[in-house]
Amino acid sequence: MSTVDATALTSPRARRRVLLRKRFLRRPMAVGGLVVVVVLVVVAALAPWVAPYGSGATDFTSILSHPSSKHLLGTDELGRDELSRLIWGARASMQAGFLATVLAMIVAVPIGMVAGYYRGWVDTVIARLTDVLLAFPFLILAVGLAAILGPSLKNATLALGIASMPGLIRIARGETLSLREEDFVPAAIANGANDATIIFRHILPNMTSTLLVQATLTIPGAIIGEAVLSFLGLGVQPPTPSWGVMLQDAQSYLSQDSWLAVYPGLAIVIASLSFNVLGDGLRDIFDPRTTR
Amino acid sequence: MGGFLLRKVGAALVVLLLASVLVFLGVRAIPGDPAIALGAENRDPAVLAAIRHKYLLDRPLPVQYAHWVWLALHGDLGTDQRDLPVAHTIVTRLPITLELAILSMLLAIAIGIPAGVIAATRRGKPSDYAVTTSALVGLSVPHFWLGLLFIVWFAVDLHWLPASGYVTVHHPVANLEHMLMPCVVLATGLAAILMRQMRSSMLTSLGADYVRTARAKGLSERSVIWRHALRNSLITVTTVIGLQLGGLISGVVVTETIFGIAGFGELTVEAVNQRDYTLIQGVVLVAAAGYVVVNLAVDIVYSLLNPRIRAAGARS
Repeated sequence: MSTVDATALTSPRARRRVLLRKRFLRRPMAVGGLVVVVVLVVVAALAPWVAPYGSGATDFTSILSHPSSKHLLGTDELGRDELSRLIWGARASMQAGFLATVLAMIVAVPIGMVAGYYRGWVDTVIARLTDVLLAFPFLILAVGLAAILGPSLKNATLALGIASMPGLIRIARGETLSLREEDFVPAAIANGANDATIIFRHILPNMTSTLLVQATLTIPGAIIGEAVLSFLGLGVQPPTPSWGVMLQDAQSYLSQDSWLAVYPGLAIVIASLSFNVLGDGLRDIFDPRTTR
Repeated sequence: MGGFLLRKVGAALVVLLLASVLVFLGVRAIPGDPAIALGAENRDPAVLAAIRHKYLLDRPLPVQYAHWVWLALHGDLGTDQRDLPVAHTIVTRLPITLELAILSMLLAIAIGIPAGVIAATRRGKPSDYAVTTSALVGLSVPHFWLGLLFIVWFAVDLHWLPASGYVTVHHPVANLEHMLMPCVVLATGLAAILMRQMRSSMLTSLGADYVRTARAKGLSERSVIWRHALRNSLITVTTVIGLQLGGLISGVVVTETIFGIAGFGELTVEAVNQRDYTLIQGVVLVAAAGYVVVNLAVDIVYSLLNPRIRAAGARS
């Protein structure tokens, strides 16, 4: 068996990938974050097979019961299995986290890139419009949109996506402003590339690492946002389980069974912490100033 | 400097104007007939017509908008479903929220800035890891959950603090007792952000030439850190503090709901839940206006603190 030498790889892109993977594996926190993220996504996707009980299955013989072999984390006020509801609730969180971020990226990145590429009045107009969206604090915007669109997971996701856009527009704009000064832009122009080709084929690939980091850090915000909106009754509607809905239910039983308020919150913390750790790790490995 | 100020104020006014259009159109986009909501679900056509006439709902949108803005500029935001003046409701609720926000901000600054400085000056040491890890946890913990846990621990189990409510500042001790948990809850996230920002800008400052010069002059390490590096790092951190005010307003909405504090945040949720159009309109407009004004103030303070921008302003 011969070992593969990183320097022996011919394409610079492959070499960079090997380097990045090496840097990533040297960060136990980031690797741990990735593992937890993958586990959460898999558990959410496989909820019908993983969860011991159905999302709304009630057991009236054990209400607000303590953990037992039958119900590992106990049951809530309707005798629903707490662990199963946490697993089903992960679906809402992951859906809101990922979809809101994807939506925000799809809309915000092209807008930001156009502003940064063309500058001038286009940039001014987009900057003002972004400022207008930024004038509404994140939750006020999300609450307002949820009020307009009506409370549901789909609308909460949409609201969180829209609320995440201004920040992403600014980042995409800033990156494009500096990337358009790079030598590959005149080279592409000399090759006869039009603006769209330059923006999407040349500039965009050069900012993927920044965008990836930003996406990873936007997801936990959306996960917490979904929980907040559902907690306030503006997101997922009961009896559909979501970590926010579970916390709202638990609020009425704080003095009887405070554990009901602990588990969903811990789930939110674990989810957002793992995304944050992963995002920080990715930022470090992509940062050219990091030598290791 | 004057031109700079004028440009900033002008931009803020444009943003505010567009924001008001957005609020106006947004509220009009809420499904359902506002006349029915305003008339407390009374569906009598004559009553509805009277309501439409009273609130100008029978006039074209631009007229409605102009009328609304004109009155808003005179401090009149209309009346809500219970026929109470919205502006008055907001004015009575606002001081409670401001107290909560200011106390939380002070607490966050008192924790975040020293912790960030310690982490930066002891980079790679255990205290650095302790600070960065707790900042990461602080960022990932949802406020409202922390609030629930605090209520369980300190109010339900230990009976140390009241679980909810608000007492006016005329009873300072009771007031602080009620404010303590909400403030700590709000301050955690802010302190985490300030810590991270402070640490990174301190690290940048400590690597800068002027710090090397200060050390070469033989200044004590303490003076180098606190007088030279910190002063420059605070410039960036000021901006971050300003930007976090938006987050603070968002946090206030949830925190007040959990702790049953009848402030501006709770009013927002109340307005949305009751689909009270004029109230939603007023609350969101005031939140946006406050945010824009604070950001303008931060921009101005930032330029006053930063000698480079100040010099550029003087030249132009």
